[in-house]
Amino acid sequence: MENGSAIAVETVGLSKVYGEGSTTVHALRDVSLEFPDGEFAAIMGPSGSGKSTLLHLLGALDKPSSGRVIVGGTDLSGLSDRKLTLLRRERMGFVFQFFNLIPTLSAEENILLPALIAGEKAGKYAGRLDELLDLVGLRARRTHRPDELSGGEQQRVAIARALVRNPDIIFADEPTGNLDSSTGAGVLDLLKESAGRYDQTILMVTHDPRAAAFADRVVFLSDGRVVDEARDPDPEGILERIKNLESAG
Amino acid sequence: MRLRRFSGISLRNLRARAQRTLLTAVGIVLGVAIVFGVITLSDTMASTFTDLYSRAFGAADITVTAAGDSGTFDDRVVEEVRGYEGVESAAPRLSLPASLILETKGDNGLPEVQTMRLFGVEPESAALATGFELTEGRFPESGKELTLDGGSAESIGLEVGDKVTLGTPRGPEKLELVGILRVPGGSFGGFGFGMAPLSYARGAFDEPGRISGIAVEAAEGTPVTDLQERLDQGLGEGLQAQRSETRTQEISSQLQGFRISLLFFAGTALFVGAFLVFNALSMTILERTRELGMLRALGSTRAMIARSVMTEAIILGLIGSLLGVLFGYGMAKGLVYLFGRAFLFQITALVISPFALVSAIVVGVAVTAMAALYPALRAGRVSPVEAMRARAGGTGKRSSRIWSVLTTLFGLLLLGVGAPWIYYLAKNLSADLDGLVYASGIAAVIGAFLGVSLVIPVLVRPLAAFFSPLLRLLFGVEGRMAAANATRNTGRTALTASALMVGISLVVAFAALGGSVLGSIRTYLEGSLGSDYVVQPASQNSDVTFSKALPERISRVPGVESTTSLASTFLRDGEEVNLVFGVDERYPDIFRIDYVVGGPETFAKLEDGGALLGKQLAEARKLGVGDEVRLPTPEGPKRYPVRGILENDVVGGGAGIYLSRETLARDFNERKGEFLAIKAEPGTDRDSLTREIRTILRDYPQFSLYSNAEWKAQIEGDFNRQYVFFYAIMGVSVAVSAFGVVNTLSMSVFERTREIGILRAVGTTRLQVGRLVIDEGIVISLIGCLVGVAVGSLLGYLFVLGSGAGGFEVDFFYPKVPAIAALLAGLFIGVFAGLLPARSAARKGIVEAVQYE
Ligand SMILES: Nc1ncnc2c1ncn2[C@@H]1O[C@H](COP(=O)(O)OP(=O)(O)OP(=O)(O)O)[C@@H](O)[C@H]1O
Ligand SMILES: [Mg+2]
Repeated sequence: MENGSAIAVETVGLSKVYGEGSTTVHALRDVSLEFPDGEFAAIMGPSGSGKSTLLHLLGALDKPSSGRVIVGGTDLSGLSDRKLTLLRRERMGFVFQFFNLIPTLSAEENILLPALIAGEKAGKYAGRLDELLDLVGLRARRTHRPDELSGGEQQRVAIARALVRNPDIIFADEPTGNLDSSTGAGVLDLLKESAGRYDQTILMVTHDPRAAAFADRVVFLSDGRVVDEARDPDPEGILERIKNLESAG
Repeated sequence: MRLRRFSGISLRNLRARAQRTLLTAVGIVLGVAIVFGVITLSDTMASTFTDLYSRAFGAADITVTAAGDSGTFDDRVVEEVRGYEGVESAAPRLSLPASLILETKGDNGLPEVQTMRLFGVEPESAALATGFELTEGRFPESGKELTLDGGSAESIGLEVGDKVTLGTPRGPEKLELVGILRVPGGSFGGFGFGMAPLSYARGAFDEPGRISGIAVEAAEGTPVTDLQERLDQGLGEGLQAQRSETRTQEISSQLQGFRISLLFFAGTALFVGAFLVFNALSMTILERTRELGMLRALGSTRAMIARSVMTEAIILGLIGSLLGVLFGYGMAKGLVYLFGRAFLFQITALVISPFALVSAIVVGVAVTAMAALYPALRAGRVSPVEAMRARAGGTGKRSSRIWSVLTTLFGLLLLGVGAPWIYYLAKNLSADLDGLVYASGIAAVIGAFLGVSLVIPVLVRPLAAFFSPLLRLLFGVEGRMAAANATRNTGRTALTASALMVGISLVVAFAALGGSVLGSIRTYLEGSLGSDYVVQPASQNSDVTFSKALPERISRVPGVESTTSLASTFLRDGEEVNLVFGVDERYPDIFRIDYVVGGPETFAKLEDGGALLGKQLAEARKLGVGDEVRLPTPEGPKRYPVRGILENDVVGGGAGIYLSRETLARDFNERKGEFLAIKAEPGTDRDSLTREIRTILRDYPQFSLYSNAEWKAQIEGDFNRQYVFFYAIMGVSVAVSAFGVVNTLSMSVFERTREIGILRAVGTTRLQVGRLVIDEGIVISLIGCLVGVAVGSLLGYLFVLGSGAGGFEVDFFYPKVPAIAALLAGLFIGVFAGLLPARSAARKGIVEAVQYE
């Protein structure tokens, strides 16, 4: 992060094959991409085009069949599960489509979870916790359990959780998929604001052109390949491109 | 309280799933409780018996008895012993089975009888002869005086100075109570200890000049071991001198076998409890797949996840074990009570050892931790990608075909090794089996159980299909759907059914053994006993004997065709155990006997000092007519020429050695009878015959007259009482596995919340939904019980095979009633276990269920 032009995540010839024999699926084929530091990138494409697969590989959640993923200059290929885990712990944050909050923990405990996992004292995060609760507007809800929160509130807790240890990169798979459009917009504003404030890279998978319009860049996937890209997109432009892709496919 | 540490999540999980935690803990609680109960029972028994034994027989430094530790010897030995250098004092005693005739009348209108052991002692050495301490009065000195244990005196209501009636072979005699003894362990309901002057005891019990033991005190400065060795060498082959400590140790080592068997049965409950833990944790982890994936995505290492599951298990194990020990205290009390009822020996004081406490808790936690190991490792292996998936694992990954083939093969292998090994052990079981062999037998049984458990998964589908029409008949469409539901997660169904299988099969196996022993006894009685009546001790824990007068008087009753009586002695000769009977020439008139060699006339010819052998014994020792059988007598070993071999040795169960009454009296000083069989003349009025015999027995209230039917009923009653004790222990493991069914059903309801909602939405009634769950419970538990019955029958057959080692040959009788009862129990457990989960399924709101994600 010393200089704005460094690469946060990079893939080289990335492929992922599921299954074998007649059930083989080429989810990703030879994908090479670069995501500079501080970029907010959206990944779009038809269902089954490999968006989630790409995100999983970038986020060190899964291993590629071939090709490499390089995160902040570190090649993930040779790393053990333990090294990968520590890498996720220290440098990455995740926002999931289904929030994935722990039902037995309160909102603030859920937010603190990454710190607890890293073996840090909860007390050290008191200030950070307040800051995040203000950011996501859930100060009054801090001791509520997930089942006492609305969907949008749950997703905001999940975002606060992703941010709590100031990760370099935030991965989000359809973070607004389960939210109505105005709540979704609120969540994305939040993500963008935070990323700007802490100089974080965001990689987000989405189906929604309006969500993608929040990004600095949109990458289009189809059948496991990168087929298009757009900078500083607006919803109409994105829709246009998707239509073009479909007629081309 | 705010979560402070990652590991705190374990506790949260336990609390959040409180109901499941409780259900899972029940297995541990009951398992630990029964283990603790059994250890405490056997500790209590060991301590009571060894204490009692050492007081009754071994308080002195050295004890001299007849070789083989049974029978009497001449009292001149006392003077001989006193002549040894280093002997401070020597106290003779004559130990006799006796009984007290009480004033109270029993249900049959006859006086009640209390069984006791009577020691004839010399007044001047009474204190040394046994180890009992006086609490009141004095030791017996002369004439008809009795000193009695405090427990018996209290329960009968006797005080020093009272008169008490002693049943003797020559009839009831009144003695004066002159002292009270303190006996360890409090009171043994129904069993007493007493002392009377040696001279009186010899007269009343027809043992002139005889004693059965000498308590020897070494002089100061004389090494006890040295004196013991000199005595043992010097007194000749017919006698043995042992350190009293050695004798006490023998007793406690004899109890070891009993303890191990009990622990085995108790252990199965814990084993089943472990199944429960394994099952519950595996399911919890499946349910939490996405959560675990998320934790992995957020940077928890595999080890952290595995550790947190292990922490959960260990907390569970600790809580369960602690509760188990508390509960186990009650269990121990119940077991001691049942034991007392079964074996007519009530112990009042429980011995709770720290060992029992610590080991029950350690074992409980260890078993829980072991059961959690695999689920914990699997939890660690959950991929972080799971966090991103739309739905969690759902019904769980179907294990690959290869894996299931492998586990099935491994199961078959375990069965293939375990079952033949049990068979081999059962076939070649010797009366004294050593610990290692015993342990390997238990390992084989456990191995076979594991084997069957591994095979059950492939049986689930066919069996469910097999039950499906039955359920459809009983419950309509729901029944069929339930059968299908049970096969949706064959692994879980199999695991739950396996747990049930273990308990049920043990019960069935045990019932098979019991039923076979009983059935064989019945066959023997029906086929071989030609008498119409028997005279037996009135109280079942008694081994009182009678002198010649009783059979003589009974045979003079008009209508009695003939009588025969037996005398017996039990001789240990090194490793060999000899069951020796003294019979008269009328024996073959009353017992129907088939002969390998010889005929009824050989019994008459025994008077010349010959012997007849049971077939199994003859085969085992490779003896035939013309050979001699060697027996240890108080005068040293003697040889008896074999005159014949019995094909069906009714009394000795194949291992009997038959001598004439005269030989037994001459060489072993065993002259009293203990079994009297009476054959009536055909056409005699039975009522008047029994009346007359009962009149004679009024002089011998310690004996009762039984018709064959009454006697059989009596034996069966004794048997069943003893079985209740074992069933109680095994019942615990069945109960634990029933909780396993509850657990599985509630998880299956939880998992199918959405599905249940959809069913309800399309018009399924609450009742139908509930029935669906109950039916699934029935399918699961029927599978467990059916396989349990099959395995239990087989195991029972092997048990029966092995039980032949005692000498008594047992035929296998298929346990029909227990098998049917077990299947009904399967139905019952299914319904019962399904009730709560069914209620929660029926109560699910439709909207909530459909929205559930
Ligand atoms: N674990 C898996 N095993 C087998 N095939 C898989 C697996 N995960 C994904 N696939 C396949 O890989 C391809 C890409 O899947 P992916 O989840 O990346 O698509 P996606 O672009 O995220 O689609 P959607 O928009 O529907 O979420 C699909 O064809 C999918 O069926
Ligand atoms: Mg996707």
